[in-house]
Amino acid sequence: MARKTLDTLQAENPQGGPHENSHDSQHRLEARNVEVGYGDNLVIKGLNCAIPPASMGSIVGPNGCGKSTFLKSLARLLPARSGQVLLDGQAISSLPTKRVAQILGILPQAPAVPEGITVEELVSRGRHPHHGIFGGWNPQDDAAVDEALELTGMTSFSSTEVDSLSGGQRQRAWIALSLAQQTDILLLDEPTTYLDMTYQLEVLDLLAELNVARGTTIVMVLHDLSLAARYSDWILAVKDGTAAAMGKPSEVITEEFVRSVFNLESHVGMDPVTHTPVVTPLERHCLAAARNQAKS
Amino acid sequence: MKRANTKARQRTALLLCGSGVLLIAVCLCSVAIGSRPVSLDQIVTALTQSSAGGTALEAIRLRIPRTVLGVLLGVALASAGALMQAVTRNPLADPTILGLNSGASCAVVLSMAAFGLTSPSQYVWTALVGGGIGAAVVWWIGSLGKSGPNPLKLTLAGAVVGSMFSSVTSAVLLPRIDVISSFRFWAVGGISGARFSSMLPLLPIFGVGMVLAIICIPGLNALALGDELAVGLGGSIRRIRLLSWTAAVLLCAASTSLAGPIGFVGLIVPHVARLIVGPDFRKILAAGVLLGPLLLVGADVVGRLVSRPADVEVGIVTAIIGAPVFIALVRSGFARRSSL
Repeated sequence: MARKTLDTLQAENPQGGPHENSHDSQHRLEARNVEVGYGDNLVIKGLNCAIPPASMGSIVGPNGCGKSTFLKSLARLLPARSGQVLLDGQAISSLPTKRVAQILGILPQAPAVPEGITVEELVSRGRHPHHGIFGGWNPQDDAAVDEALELTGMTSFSSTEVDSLSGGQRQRAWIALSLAQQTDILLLDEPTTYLDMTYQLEVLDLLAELNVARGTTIVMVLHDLSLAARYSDWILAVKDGTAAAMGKPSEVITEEFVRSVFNLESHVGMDPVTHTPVVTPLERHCLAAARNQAKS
Repeated sequence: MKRANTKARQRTALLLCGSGVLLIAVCLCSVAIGSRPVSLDQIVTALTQSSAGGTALEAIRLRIPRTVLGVLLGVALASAGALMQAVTRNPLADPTILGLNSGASCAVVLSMAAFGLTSPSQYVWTALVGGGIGAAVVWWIGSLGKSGPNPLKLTLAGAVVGSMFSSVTSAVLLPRIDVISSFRFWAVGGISGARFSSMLPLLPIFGVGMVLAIICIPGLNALALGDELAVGLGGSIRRIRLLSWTAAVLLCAASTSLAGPIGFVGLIVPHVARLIVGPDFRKILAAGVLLGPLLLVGADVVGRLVSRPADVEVGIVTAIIGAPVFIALVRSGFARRSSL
């Protein structure tokens, strides 16, 4: 499918788009000693993490470790029970929520699709934080929506109903909504879930392009360690609600790390193409060895 | 929301203009048609010369407030229905779910039984207070717990509180034949007794309700994407829910107190509007403001025609003619999408 990349868009529009496209994100997001819980259950138990501006990073960890909860608290969807999430040094909970929404966007795991909505109408709702109560639609909004559709390759689907899209197309429509929001920081909760390998790479490529061309800070929760290593500048591993490790993928992802965080024996090699760590899990009961023996 | 494809936009505009023209026609019919037929000349005379007399002119002067009330209620009930369905994310939400109709009924019955109130103008305020209390109780129960109000809790609270008030109403009503006979007329819902004098004091309530509704709408569009994304887009979901709820309660309570519980309009008009204009609440409200009065005033006119010279109250007719019209509309392909 023919679609423009951010580079070509920028080349066509050297002044930069409506929203300071060309600068790196100057906004800083930081968690200080954050504790988050549901009811009596404390899920995040004192997590510190400063997100490097204009970087692309992944939060990884086993199921139930609290990585999604942590992402939600970074996006002020869940209040911190103690500690603080700071946006540009100010407590995010004290900032006007609409102002935050102009700086920081979040794509949750399972947003709701209004019945009968078309792709373009859905993406247009990403402009919400840029409007006041009586603020009308303006050409800037049109430009932002068109650009978001173009970048995600969804322009030809703009009048298609979201209900009738495939999983991959639907995910791209949601990402287009987040792009139309035009924030300097973008948080995504498992953006590649339910997608086949091609679409997974396509989504991650798109986010990487966004990060390189616009300097958008990208933080995502990912399950696939090798993909996370390939696309991330940094990796934060969460275990039992605390930070088990944070750093460059090549430094963080080791056999010892996979064993301690995921309780899994593995072989960590080097991707011959990207020179990033690749995790090959080992079968726990050594069935492969037994099968090979039986064959010979 | 934006230019989208121009074809769809033109179709929507055409349908809305058509509804507007139809509404004007129906309003004229409402003034002209009744047990006593009148001519267009007489309507003009009645509107322009306040001193002119005669039975035909008297009839017209009675039908004008009735028509105005029909339009007012149509606008209010359709808007309230759209707000309720958005806040509770429940396509079957209508004023009943607010706990409002049951609260108002209960208050009216209690005032009849305890204070012997008999004239509709006296029920206006008891119904308003009762409806307000009912809705407040539903909101309070639906907001219990740390997470605050959510669609499921509000819907359940509405059902529970509604049953509770209905039981009280029945308990008071059963032994009192005299109360039953006056209550049954109120409970049907009608606009035949409309008077400007009872409408005027409630106009500010309708006004505030509509202004709140308009303020809520961008937030409701965000809320439709789920709570998390709505917050991510800078919506404050508690405020949106509370404001929409308040707007719906004001609109419904004022309507119910003037005309008794009129069902169906608030339930069905938002759906018809959504079928025609799509899921954007701004458009749904705009379409509802035309379609609500169209259904209500139209039903009232039909009610006058079917049993001349008597009236069938609009509360009965709305569903009887509204339901087939709705089904026909869905089947006709008028809708933006063919399936429900």
